[in-house]
Amino acid sequence: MTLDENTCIRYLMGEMDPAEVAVFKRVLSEDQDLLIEYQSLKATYKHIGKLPEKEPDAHISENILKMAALQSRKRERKARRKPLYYAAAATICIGMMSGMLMIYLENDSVSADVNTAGINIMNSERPTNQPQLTTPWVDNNEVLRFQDMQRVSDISDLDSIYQNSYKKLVPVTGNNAAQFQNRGLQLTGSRP
Amino acid sequence: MKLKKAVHIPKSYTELKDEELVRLYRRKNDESAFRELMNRHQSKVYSYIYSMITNAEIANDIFQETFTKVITKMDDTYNEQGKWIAWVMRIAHNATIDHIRKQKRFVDVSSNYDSESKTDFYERLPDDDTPGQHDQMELDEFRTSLMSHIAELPEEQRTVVMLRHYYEMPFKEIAEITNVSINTALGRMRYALINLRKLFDEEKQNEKVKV
Repeated sequence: MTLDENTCIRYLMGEMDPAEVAVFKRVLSEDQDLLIEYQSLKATYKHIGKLPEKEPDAHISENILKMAALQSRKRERKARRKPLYYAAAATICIGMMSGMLMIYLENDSVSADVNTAGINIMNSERPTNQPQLTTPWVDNNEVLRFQDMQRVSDISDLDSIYQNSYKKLVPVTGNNAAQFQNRGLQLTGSRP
Repeated sequence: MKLKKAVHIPKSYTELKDEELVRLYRRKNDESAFRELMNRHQSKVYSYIYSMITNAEIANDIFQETFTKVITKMDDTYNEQGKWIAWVMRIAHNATIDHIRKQKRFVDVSSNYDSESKTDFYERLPDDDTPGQHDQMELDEFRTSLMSHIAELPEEQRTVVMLRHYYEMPFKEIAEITNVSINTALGRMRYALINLRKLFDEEKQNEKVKV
């Protein structure tokens, strides 16, 4: 144990562990100056023990107790309202989730419709004996497009549509129809 | 003034630890538990504040401010890990130091204390175990002198002395409350005792000169 200026006070205040206490007691018995310092600190500290306790004014204590009671009631009310908050939050969550689900299902059915509509259907395994409806659609460039796989015998149907529509519709300049392997028709808005 | 235990506090509460009482108050909204906590600690907390301020009116205000914070902040800031009273004392200490700093001066004992506390502080001491009238007068005189000497100590030394005296607080806790190392807190205690010794010696010298 190294002795420093706080050693005496540590001993006096009981801030030493038992091993240190044993060493300090031995040093104290050998060092007169240290003993004098210790006795002096001890005597003064004893005086402090005579300090009285003082009480706050009674009305202050009562005010504090009233405040504590009030706070306790507040806490109780808050706790009672908690299940309501949870229920409200759960309702909102369920509402939002069902809304999102509905939107999702709606989009899903639209895309399913689009997929089943036969637009850009390149499925070669399609049964050929069933007549397929060619569903027109308008893209962002206001292009009306008819496109379908046709059997050679059905080509006349598309030709007739082409022939009938041609009078009213203007073909897109730079007609790309020729690029399609299958026959197709790409038309834009009505004549002015 | 002790709160009337028999009327307000069930007997079993007096046997509970602080932490258990705090839990009862916080979780079960048990007002009697808080009353018991007040009953146990109010005089020590108040004595600490008073010893630092030496003005009953201001000490009452700071005491109320302390417990208002305790009540309103207990749910948010007290984590039940540490001692409740150490947490309360930290609030009391901060409120006291704030006040002292606002005043921008250390409490002037000779002007403040003599005018007020001699008549206020000791007149209200409990009468239990009252010694003879002469002894009581001597004791009062000694306490008055002791109080005035303690109030003359620098604030940081006085804080350590009071926290130790009223709460027998370990120096680890005192160091935490006052934001210093344990060694510094011990050093302050040592200097406080040395300074008190000097003040007592000076007083004795003055008395001898008068005689």
